[in-house]
Amino acid sequence: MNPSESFDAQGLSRPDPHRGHRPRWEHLALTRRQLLQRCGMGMGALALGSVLAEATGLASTPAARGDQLNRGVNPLLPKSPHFAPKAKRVVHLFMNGGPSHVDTFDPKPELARLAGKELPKTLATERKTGAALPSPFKFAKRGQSGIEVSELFTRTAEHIDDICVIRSMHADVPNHEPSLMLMNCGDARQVRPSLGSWTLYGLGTENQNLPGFIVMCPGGYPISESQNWQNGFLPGIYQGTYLDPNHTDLEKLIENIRHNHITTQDQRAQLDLLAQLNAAHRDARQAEADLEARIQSFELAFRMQLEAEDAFDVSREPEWIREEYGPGVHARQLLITRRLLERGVRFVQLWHGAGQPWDNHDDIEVNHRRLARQCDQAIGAFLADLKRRGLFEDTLVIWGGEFGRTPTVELPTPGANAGKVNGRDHNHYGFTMWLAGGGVKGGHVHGATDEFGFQAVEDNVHVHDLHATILYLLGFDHERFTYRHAGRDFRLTDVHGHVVKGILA
Amino acid sequence: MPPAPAFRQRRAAFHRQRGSGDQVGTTPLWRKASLLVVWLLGTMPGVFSASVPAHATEPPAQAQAAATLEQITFFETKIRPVLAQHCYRCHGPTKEWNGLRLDSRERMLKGGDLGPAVVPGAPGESLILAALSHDPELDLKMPPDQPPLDQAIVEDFKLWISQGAPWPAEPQPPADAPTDQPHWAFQPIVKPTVPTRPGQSPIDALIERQLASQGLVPAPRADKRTLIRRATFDLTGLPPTPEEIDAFLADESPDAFAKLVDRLLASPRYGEKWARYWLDVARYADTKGYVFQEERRYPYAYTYRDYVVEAFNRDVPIDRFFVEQIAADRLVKPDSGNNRALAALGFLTVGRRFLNNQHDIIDDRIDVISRGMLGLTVACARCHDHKYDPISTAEYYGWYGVLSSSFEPDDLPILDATNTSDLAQRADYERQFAEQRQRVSNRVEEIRQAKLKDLRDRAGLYFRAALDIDFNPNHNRLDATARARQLSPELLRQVADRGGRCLDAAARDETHPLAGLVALVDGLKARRCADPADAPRTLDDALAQQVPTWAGDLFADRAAITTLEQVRDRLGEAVQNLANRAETDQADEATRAAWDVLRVQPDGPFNISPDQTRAVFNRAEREEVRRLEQRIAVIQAEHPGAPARAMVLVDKPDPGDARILIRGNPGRPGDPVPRRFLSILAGPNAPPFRDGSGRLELARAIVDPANPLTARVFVNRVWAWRFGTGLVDTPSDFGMRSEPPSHPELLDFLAASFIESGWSLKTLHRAMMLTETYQRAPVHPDPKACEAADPDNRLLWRFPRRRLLFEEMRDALLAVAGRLDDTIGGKPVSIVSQPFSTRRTLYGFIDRQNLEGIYRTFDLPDPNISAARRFVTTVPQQALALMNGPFLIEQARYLAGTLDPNAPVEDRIRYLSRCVLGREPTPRELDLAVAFVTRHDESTAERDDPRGPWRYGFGALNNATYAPAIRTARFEELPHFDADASAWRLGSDYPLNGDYLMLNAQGGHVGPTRDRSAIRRWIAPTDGLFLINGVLKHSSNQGDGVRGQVVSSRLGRLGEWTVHNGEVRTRLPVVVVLKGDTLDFVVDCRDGHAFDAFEWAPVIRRMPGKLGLWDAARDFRGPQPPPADLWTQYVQVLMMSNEFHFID
Repeated sequence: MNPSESFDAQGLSRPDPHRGHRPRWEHLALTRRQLLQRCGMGMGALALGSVLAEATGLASTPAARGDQLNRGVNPLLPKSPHFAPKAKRVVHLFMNGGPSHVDTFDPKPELARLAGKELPKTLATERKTGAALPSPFKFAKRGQSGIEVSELFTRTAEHIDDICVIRSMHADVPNHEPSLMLMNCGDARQVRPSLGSWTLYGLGTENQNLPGFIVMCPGGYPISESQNWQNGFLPGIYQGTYLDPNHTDLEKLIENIRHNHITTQDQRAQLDLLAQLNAAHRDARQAEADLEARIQSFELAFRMQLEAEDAFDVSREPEWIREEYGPGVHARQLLITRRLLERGVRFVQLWHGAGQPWDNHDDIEVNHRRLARQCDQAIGAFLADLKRRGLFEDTLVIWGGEFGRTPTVELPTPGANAGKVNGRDHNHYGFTMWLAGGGVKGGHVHGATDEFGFQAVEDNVHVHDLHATILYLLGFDHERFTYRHAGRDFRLTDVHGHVVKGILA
Repeated sequence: MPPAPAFRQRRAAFHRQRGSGDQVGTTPLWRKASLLVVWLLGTMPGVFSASVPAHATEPPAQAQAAATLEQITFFETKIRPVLAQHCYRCHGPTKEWNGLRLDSRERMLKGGDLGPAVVPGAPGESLILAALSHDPELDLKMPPDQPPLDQAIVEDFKLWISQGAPWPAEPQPPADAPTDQPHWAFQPIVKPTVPTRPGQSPIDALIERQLASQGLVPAPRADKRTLIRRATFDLTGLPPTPEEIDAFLADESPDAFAKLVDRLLASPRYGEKWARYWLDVARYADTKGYVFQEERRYPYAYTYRDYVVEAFNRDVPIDRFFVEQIAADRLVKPDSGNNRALAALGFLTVGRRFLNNQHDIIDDRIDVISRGMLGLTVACARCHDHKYDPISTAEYYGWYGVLSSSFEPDDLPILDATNTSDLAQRADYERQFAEQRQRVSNRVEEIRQAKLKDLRDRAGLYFRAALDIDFNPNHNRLDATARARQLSPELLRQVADRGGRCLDAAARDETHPLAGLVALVDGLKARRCADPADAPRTLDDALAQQVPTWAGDLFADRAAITTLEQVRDRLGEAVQNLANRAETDQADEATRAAWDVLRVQPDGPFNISPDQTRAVFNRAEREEVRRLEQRIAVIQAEHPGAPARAMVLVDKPDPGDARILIRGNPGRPGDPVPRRFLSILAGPNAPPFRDGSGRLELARAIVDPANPLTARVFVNRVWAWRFGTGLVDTPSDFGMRSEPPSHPELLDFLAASFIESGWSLKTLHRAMMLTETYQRAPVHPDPKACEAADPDNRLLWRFPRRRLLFEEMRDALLAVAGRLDDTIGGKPVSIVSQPFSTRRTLYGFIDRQNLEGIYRTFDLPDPNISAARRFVTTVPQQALALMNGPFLIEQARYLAGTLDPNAPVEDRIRYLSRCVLGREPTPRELDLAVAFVTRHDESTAERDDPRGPWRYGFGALNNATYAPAIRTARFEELPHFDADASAWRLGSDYPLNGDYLMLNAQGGHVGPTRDRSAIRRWIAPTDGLFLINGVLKHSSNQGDGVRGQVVSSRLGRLGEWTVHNGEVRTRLPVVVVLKGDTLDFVVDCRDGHAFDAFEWAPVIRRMPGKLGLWDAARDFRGPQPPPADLWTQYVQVLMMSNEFHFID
């Protein structure tokens, strides 16, 4: 579909994408057909397309797929997965630091009953914890489904009937770094490609004018930094492209996106000359797929300048939309995300902020309230916006942290917390994530933790299972989706993972 | 976040292995597990010993007797269904938890990590039975997380096992079965005899034989221009100069190409090019990867990079090169005066540091050795026997033992003959380094003295507090107690800990100076929480104690003492008295003796020895000292006079074998395994390594000429780096899963010749390059037929074209612009910061954690993992980097700047073509170029200014008071852009002579007078009707606020607003503007200029609204480069061309 058309069709006013002081790009950019004609190629556009598709398509054997990375062609062109996908694109809202499930999506009234008392069973986490700490937040049934959500995510909860809450997530260890690696890359310690990189490797991306895997984190990196979106042993182009959404200057968002040294007309003249020189060079040679791919990459880059300018400029959104998302950088990055998704970007990962904002070992009430306030309205608006534009059905939205938090209060540890005894420690035994859109069951709760929320006890979903399920929604059998490296075929799920059928729509 | 305690990670890892259902019990499970292992080892000798081959077949005693029909029926009805229902999910074809499969008798007998599951005929020794019956002795209850299966089922299994575990005969799976023929790569290298035509290279003969077998005729020889470009890039990573091309074209002697190859091999540029290939294998980087707080850089990684360059330039034999990289410390005599080879050990030590997890660091080193040198994926055996290759977990941990018997010393050796050139710098470094070290130790000492003083001045308080927490350093009220009394928790912990130990010692020794206190303190301790009714007795007990003489008469006014608290108080006072008196002349012997125990002894509770100071640091002190220490690391990394050091690994004084870690889990240690070479290469009885860590023996085993892999793997790498594809297509994996070589005989011929040549890489280059195969044309007269037979050109019917590597591309851009710096070696430089370094790209700083985008964009392999080859991708980001990135433009400008402006246009074009492409332009190219550089079409006239419409300046308005007459009388652009503050300013100093004038994206600050108003100017790029909107904001209740005005160059002042500690909307009615008009947003200080920061980021919209929008905040920019002239643009096109970026 052409998102900009549907945009206009709904009668939303849309500023002209062509800024007045720039010439009209579509008149300057060669279409591929024009390019081929101008280059006087013997090979037709269609034929070329099929050559490229063949060279980059999802080949049947891992070895063959590895080979195509050596042929000098664009490995980001769209590819088909194993079977028809439910989700075509993914947004991962990463609440880094570990949001407390018992304060957000997993109500535990038992904690109030046992407030200040020791729980019958306390599991070892990173630090010592003590008595039960009831949630300071009010829970209420939301939507038709009546799923209970705390007051922290009221706006998000307006969409609860379209959200699938998984209350039985569990991971391996109660520490940030390995848990971030597990959540993002499926392995706590070794260098492995991230979920986004796998997705890009498997599906390519719909819009060659924008990076296919974009990561935003306001103000800097989360801990473990760019490892969270690493390509591992996959080629470097599959790594996430990191942007700091606090910047408003496009140049700081995407490297080399602007031609500051010459005018657009001059650049067009340059590329015309370049195309002529390259055509002559190619015509004297053979097996020109690599040469042709590079010729095209300049035309793609030329168009990318405009596309990126447009995609990241949220000032082109109507006022009411911007108001709906609200103020602040979360609104901004979610609004940018929606603009990216409708332009065909495959995978967007949004982090709450630099470091580990949700890691509230102290003052959980104040901090969780502040953090939720920063993003709740924007998440709600984002989901509404996706629905309005018909993007919701095939966009998979993932919300969660690297783990949850203990239902017990964290005890003071010198040098580790502020000793206020009003926060929670990390908890990997049980926590909540939610999914929405892209083929998951709305208004549904999957699994449960024990009566205190310490440990997942019912329909447990390990991170590997979540990955298997996400890949399934994207059209992959996670056991067959492999990459040959260092003598063996690697998977995102290593040797683990089961598709969680219970959450599929 | 501090990493989790090791034990917890082990525990967690264990859980992961065991499945999710396990919970943390009170007894660490891993300890139970290791007990289990010990038990198993006792009952089943040889399970973990490497002397039993991984693919051990069933011992004859356990061979299955012919099963009766009855037994088979029993199995099929009672046993197999249970296995299928309850076991196969985790121990079957899809999963092998703990390496165990239960879907064949053989596999049951072989068992998993914990040993055989079934011992036929011996139910009591069969683990499966213990697991099924939930044997309380074992922490192994199957199926997991369920009540035990019916007792009847357990009885069935018992019966079945006692029958000898009969299993119906099943067809053997053919796939995994070993064949008689050993894997090709493990067979000895045999040099084939190759029949050749006179003068023909055996390489050509072998290549042509394969071509002929497909009925293919290879392409003819390439022209000389192609050859010199190909060979020069191939050996030096640089383009030939026009002069070199001319000389080669002019040399018509038959050995012209051989002379060219020799010249290139002798160039120091050669080592720089080929080092980079090896650095890919060695996963070279200049940083450690993710670390929490320590300095990330490796200050000396570059010495390894330089070692590789030098080794290749000197043609160090590759076997020697390999041995040095594993064990140079054993080859280099400490005082030989030439220890430069020590830097070779960087091969092992420049890897990622995995938050200092030793297991992962060692794994990384095993991986780089085994894949890099042997083409074997030994690291696959970390958790289980290799799935495909004959490499067992025992062998992995044999290597592990070698590396865990080695360590990195704190003081790395200084490399000889480095930095001698600049003695002054070296001296300055030594001074700074020593100063900083001194600063650290001074600060540590200062802290120590302060704490010592505190301990003496408040000894009584500390003692009293320690008493209150029962001398328990882990007391849960320790911190609260310290806080309440304003004591240092760290010191209290020490006093409690050491004081407790003193009292323990005193309790055992009546002559101990503190002996008298013990009973008293114990009494106070033990009764602390007892029944209040006991109190009087306790008090009496307390008062009955003999107290040491130094404590004075603690209870002289006995009547006044009515509570235990008072006893405690007095005890504290006594200790304080002791502290006050002990070091004075009045102190008696007993006093001195007590003080000696408490204070003077290194482990006295009130003492802090220098080396233990850090143990009592509080968080702030720890942070402060860490920051000071980090400065040392920074000096080492950054000071130009810092001596080069080798990142060595040396043998530990007590080397030893390592234990297997079951499933790679550090919480599950198994049997120790000998350090030795792989049995597949050295035979099943390879002698264990005995010399130190065993690294030297390992290295020698790797380069042993009888080892079939090392030479094959290396020559194949060279082939792949040269011809794009290896003879074996997986250069780092020659294991069972690798495809056989496309030219097996050629591979062996090259490997054997390589060994014969003394492992000389330069000889190998000559052999490969002085062939017809290497010198073939990139095009074939009949490509269709060839492509049909061999679409991937594996048979080399033509020379494979390739694109420049990233390093070659960047170096070539510098080279053709005439700017390449040919300095060899040294510390890494940034290749992304401006002004751009003109060093070769090899010397670029590589941060493996957050790799610069440019490296990723251009396919640098991930520096975390040994890379077998480079990907070649084509994405628009690469084009963007060339079209818009400042690096290429800088080179283009530079080259265009060397043109003679008076020369004829055609001559200038010829000159540029020669410089960039090394050839004359064709007539058509000349025409195109002339048209390009002389164009003056309408679009040129219409060219918009790349700086955009905004200008940032200051100035003054005229003196008119009638609004339509007001104009900007003076406008000067702010000359300085501060990138950190993202603001335009008057100069690099801010404020400049008290003038705070500046503009940023949101607003700015006015100057001190109205003559120095801040002016943001917008130059209309087009005619039209415009809406102007904004909010002028002033946020201080001091001063008198600011005034904002919008002044049009055509219409005069359009609006005026003043604001003080508030904001005002600056909306204007529709304004008519013609192209080129200016709108100035002028902000002045009114009468006083203090506190005159303001925000004002106007938005200009063209009417109707769809036609344009200029947002001052969004569009705000720093300085833009001056526009590139037409010649620069032309050079840029040549530098972007495919001809420049591909090598035929």
